[in-house]
Amino acid sequence: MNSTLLSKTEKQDLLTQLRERFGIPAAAFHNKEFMKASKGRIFLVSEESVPFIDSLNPRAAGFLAARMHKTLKPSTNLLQFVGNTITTNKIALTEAQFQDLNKWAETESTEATDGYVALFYRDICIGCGLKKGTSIKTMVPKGKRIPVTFL
Amino acid sequence: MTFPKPFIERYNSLVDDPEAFFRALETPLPKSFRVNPLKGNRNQIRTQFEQYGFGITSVPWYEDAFVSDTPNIGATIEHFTGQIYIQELASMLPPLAIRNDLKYGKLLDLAAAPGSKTTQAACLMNNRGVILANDSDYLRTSALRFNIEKQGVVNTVVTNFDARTLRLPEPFPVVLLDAPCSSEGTIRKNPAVLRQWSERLIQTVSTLQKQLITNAYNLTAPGGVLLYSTCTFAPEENEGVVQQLLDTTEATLERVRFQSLQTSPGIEAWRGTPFPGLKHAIRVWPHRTNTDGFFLAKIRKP
Ligand SMILES: C[S@@+](CC[C@H](N)C(=O)[O-])C[C@H]1O[C@@H](n2cnc3c(N)ncnc32)[C@H](O)[C@@H]1O
Repeated sequence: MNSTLLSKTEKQDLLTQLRERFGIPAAAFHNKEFMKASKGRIFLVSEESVPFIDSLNPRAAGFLAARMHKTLKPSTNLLQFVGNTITTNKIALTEAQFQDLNKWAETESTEATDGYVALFYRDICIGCGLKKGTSIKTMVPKGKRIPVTFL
Repeated sequence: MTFPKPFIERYNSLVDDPEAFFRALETPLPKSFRVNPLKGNRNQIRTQFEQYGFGITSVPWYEDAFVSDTPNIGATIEHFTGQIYIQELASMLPPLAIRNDLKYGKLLDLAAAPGSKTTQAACLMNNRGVILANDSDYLRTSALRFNIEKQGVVNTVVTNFDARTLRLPEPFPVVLLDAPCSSEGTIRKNPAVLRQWSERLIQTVSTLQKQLITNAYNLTAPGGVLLYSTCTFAPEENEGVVQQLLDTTEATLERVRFQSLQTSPGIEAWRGTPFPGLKHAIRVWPHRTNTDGFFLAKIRKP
């Protein structure tokens, strides 16, 4: 994994987007750093990992937090990780909506504005979704969509 | 379950209560899990699981570990979101044996995939510091990465080197070698282990383990600790490996205790080979603890 620390302005920009879209405060990333890798990938790592990432050229470090293309696409892992700090563009799913997303990858909702959204069931953030009109598509990776019967 | 004859002979002569031992190996393993405090709250999850109708029991030696009376824990939203991690109880012991040492903030986990102990150590470190999580098997490092991501672990750097020859710019204060082994201790979960079992396999793995522990010790900083563990019973893979290190270096063993867990000390000799330094090692027997079998030795480098 070839990666470098985000520059100060890149980090500021990322934090601003996360705050404006989801209400996530910068403090949620206290003691952590963002590293950018190929294909717009951004990893969240502990501060203390950084020198090891620089010297060892590892396969991976921390977890994939987002992809930066024209817009910022937060990963499911990131939204789950800071779920309790998310205040806007949250969609509260019913059990039926959760199951639709888990099985068919799509459901409907009128909450939130178009773009990436944080999907919740009860107070648990289940990951990232994409909203367009009333359609919601799950961005939870297929490998993580295991059958859930207790929720 | 049919045990190979040499397996029966071997453990009839080694185990304190062979009848109970063989009976335990044929009894299904309890379903256990640990709460991942990086994502979930212990009390809330316990309450929720009880609302699902699961019978949940605490484990006296680890506040985040629980036993469930149903395998349905794998079909919960808490599992979906990485708030719990399904893990056999005995496999949770190695990170706990170095719990106080993890305060140094640096752990080298030499054989880390699929990451049960890496992610547990990350929880014990509160996601701070750094864990160098290595495994020589490229495919298994993918499973390691998956688990790290799902558990929300940020303090891990994953590498793919052969731990026998790995060199690092500086040694680590804490090293975990959860060694590849013949896995006899996991027969309850995976009876297929018996099909691969042979005295010869034990000898081959033991040779590999001796090479691994030698380099693991080289990578341990003076004053640091090396935790050696396996999920097997064979003395050649346990006391034999650690005794060789004690015989060829200045290393010493430290005693480890787990509250209310009935462990046994390392054995003193096997087939004519004495293990004089191994009484501080720990054996976990399925018929004593109702878990998988495990071996742990906490080694201090002066
Ligand atoms: C018992 S498993 C480790 C389990 C892991 N610690 C966990 O808790 O999930 C042993 C691991 O050693 C790895 N291994 C085998 N030979 C190795 C070597 N020479 N160097 C590094 N890793 C090795 C295997 O690929 C396997 O993943």
